[in-house]
Amino acid sequence: MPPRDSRDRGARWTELRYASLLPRAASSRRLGDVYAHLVAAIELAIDRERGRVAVERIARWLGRSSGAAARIYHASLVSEAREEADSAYFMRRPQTLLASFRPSPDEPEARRGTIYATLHLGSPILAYLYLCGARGVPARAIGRRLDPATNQMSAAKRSFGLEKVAWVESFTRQPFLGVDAVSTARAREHLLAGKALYAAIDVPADVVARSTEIELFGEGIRIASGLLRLAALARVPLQPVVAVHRGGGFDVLYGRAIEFDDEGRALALLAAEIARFVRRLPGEWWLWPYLTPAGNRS
Amino acid sequence: MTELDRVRKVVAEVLRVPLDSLAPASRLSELATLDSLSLVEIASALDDEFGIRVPSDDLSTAVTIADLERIVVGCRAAVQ
Repeated sequence: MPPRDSRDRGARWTELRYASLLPRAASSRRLGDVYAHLVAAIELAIDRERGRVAVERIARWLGRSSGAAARIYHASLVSEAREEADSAYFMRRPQTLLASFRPSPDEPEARRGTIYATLHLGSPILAYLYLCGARGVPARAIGRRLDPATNQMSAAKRSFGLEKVAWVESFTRQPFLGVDAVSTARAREHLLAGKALYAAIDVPADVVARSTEIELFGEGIRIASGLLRLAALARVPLQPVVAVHRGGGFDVLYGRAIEFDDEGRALALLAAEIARFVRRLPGEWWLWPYLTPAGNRS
Repeated sequence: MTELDRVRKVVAEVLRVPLDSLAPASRLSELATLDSLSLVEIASALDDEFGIRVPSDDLSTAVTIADLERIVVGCRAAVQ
């Protein structure tokens, strides 16, 4: 755990970021861009150990020099902060959001009963709004509640998170599904009724009850396996999808749909899809420092 | 084999507990460490065993093996 001075400084920075800077970043796309770069620079400076872990992993996995890996890590910090700024901007102007998307040339046909699997990459929440709002996909997002008892984020950050969840639920007219037993049973029901779910597939194992091992770039890591199990039980495919910020708009990119008739084969295909997105967009993936190595079981 | 026996067999397989440890009054939460997927796994296995679809709202009210049997009986009656 970092020393107390460092923790206090981190808490003050988080409060400043979410209570003062982010609301200003919502004023324009240009200020959003300034916010993203400022946040990345400060995050880089205040947690050097996190940066070291990320840069080493990027260099190892992608075969890059440490300088190139550092630039990719910096870009990933910018990407994560830009997602906040974009969300804050469109929360004030929801009517302009859908026109900002450039659809993929290979939009898959809407299928009955699908789990849209995104990554912590680019603009995952905005991709969900695109699917529901522009494509008419009857998808419900799965997410953990921002419960103060279990999630000790700062008040300002939680306030932004709650406001964002309320906006997403209002925009899609679909409440989030939680990760408790009742919500999971409802998620199954939703799939069996031919509808869709939307969730991140690359959730690190250390925050969940069940996990599984996949191999990425020659190394074993553990990711949450609940969504994979649900796909297998409901006999529905996973459809990888991400959205990335490009030139003021968003590109929507799809991966290959994964059928769960054979779980072992499906896991290998999923790992290949994650690796394909990460190799293509390494500076958009936020999880470089946060992965759970295969040795750490949950 | 009775419906209760078939329900017990399904639960024993899903939760990986001995069949003879399951009585009608056995509480699901005391049989194993349940997580958010356990009930869905039981529901899917019951669907396959009986050719029914167990509704999620009914499922979340099940506390004991007997509750599950009652849900199964209700579902089967509804499809006949």
